[in-house]
Amino acid sequence: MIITSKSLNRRTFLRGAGVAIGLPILDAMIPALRASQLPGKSPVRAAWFYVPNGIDMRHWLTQGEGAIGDLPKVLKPLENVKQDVLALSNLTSNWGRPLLIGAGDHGRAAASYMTGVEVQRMGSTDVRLGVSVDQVAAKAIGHHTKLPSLEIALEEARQAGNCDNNYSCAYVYNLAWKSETQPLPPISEPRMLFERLFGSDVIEAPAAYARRLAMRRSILDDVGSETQRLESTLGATDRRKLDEFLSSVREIEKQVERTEKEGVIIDPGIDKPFGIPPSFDEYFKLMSDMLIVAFKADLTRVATFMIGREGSTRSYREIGIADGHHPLTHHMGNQDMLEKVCEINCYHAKLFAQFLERLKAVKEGDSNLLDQSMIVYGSGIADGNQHTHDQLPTLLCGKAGGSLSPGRHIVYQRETPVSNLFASMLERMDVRPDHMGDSTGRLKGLSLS
Amino acid sequence: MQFAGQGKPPVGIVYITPMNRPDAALALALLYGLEGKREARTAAVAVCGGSLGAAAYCDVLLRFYLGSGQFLNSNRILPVGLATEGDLPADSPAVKVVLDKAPAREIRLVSDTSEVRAMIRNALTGQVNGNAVIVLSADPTELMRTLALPGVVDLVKAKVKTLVVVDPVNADVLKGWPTPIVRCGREIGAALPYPAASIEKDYSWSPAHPVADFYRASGTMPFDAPTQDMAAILYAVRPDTFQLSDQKALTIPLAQKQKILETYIELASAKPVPRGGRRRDQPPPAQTPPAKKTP
Repeated sequence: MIITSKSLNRRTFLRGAGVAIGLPILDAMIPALRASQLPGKSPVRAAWFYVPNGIDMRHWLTQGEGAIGDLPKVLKPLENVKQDVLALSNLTSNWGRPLLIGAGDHGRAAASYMTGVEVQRMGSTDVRLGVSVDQVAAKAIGHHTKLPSLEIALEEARQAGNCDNNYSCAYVYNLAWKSETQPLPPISEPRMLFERLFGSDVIEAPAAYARRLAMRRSILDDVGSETQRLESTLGATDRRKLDEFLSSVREIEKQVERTEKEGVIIDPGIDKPFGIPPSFDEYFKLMSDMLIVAFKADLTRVATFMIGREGSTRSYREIGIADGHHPLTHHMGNQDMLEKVCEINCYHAKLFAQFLERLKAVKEGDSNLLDQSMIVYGSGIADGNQHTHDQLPTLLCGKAGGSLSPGRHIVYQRETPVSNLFASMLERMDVRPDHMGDSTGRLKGLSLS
Repeated sequence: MQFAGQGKPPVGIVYITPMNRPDAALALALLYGLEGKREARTAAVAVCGGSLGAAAYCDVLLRFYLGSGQFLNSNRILPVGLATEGDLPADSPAVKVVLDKAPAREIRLVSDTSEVRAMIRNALTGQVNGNAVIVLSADPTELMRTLALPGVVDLVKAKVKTLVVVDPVNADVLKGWPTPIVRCGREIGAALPYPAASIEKDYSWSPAHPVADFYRASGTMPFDAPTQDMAAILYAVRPDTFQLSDQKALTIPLAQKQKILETYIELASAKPVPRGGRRRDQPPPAQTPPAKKTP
């Protein structure tokens, strides 16, 4: 690392017509003689990956506290990153339960998961919930970044309609809630996500935007002169870092363009808008790669990622499963269906593990991006067959800048609210609300120091 | 859970106990007897000031009376909590006697129990308004800490009909409790001691009855144990059985004395009736195809 007396603004953007590209941390951004403070100065990022329809809990880590040893089947894909994972057992999402209402578990599960409040059943169009944990964080620290938060999903979000026993579709398609009545719809189209990340705050005229797309010009072309000017002020290491970063942006851009060229892909399992990669693997990778770039360039520090909407009926032909996910989870003990659910769970875990590995490969100062992050992988339903909302499958990945000690399995007392985890995460981002949802405190033992 | 729109549900009972007296074991047996008659529903049992074994004992009792199936992977809140602040006391001899025999013991670690504050709060969220009673026969610290959680004062006001406080709990520390409080004094327990003869006779339908074994191991038989926890539970479910003094303390009408004792014995020693119903993870029973009509 080169220590200079000058420092480049952490929020430097490469700007061009309708384009604003944030930059990763460069040596030039670190004030002289303060480089040793980098791990402490580097921001902590948080993301929540939501898995729909619960997990085959027969093959999830439920027993044995302490160092994570042999992984059960569903978690096997995480073998390479298990030292970066905290498995947390016995957490509960009470407001997902039937309580006095009865049916509608999928209508409540995702909505209550990150808000920790009662999901009001108000028909197809009306909603009343609470502020989700990501938005509590975004409100407190969002002003530091171009985007206060990022909401991503792998299914197009519907905001109205009756999706489950008179619960609005807004509840099952959105994780992020800015207020009691305002969900933040996730982005499911790669192009839209790309533009959100790298478009400028200045709204590009539709004609200019269309012209750029038609000409297939890269956004890097628009910031070419700015890039050259900046490079002339950087050292060799920073020039290499910048080049690597812009190459990764270009790779993503090319992938987005490629899928757009391929046009609409017919998949009977799910409606796909224009420009969605044909296979779920590619789709997951493309969208999660953009999340990595967003974290790397400090475009945002808070994100949600819905692998599927709650109650998703997506089929996974990529792994030879033509049945819908949700119907399969109601297996009633049918072994064939159970095995298919397990295969889907393993598939999701594999894609998530690959995301973690890519995140870990990104260097940031003397550390890596995963070490600077807290990534939750979980669901508001444990057993999808019985619709249970206790003993939730929950992983917390990364080190949050050194304030987490992963590689372990912690089993809490039952009924411990999952909101306690989220309150603990907020604390690690220096966000301390009076309370978070139905939390009763913070989770103990997340750090050994 | 209590579902609205299906008639008046049975009253939900939260019982907070250190489970260190035979009276407490009898009270739980009485509660499950009342649940068997669809008059009560155990919303939560919290062991405060008791050992891990005491919580395990409550779980053994729960499964003994209500069966083990319905709690496994069910949406019903696992109703055994354990307050874990500070060092847990050692198991009492009575607890040990039962646990040594218990085949269906699900609680072995602290993490097999529930966090008391979340459990009580969550249990109340599943009760119909005004249809829950809390019976407090232990250190009130955890209950008051539950009350201090955001939104719980309003929740308690909405859901809890009465807080029944059993001596020797100091009611002074319950300042700010938002519902009526009824006191169940030692004199109530002393007035109706449980007959040791019933333990030997009425529980013999099981060769290893967890209540009878607990009772016997709690003293030198034969002894008649006081029953204030039983009175508190019975009042919570059948309030008209007792009278209230001007100071909101339970009193026993003279004419009711024998009847109350008989109720204690009948319900606490009742053999549980297996319930029907099928869990979602069990395949439906094979359907017999309808017989073809002969032309």
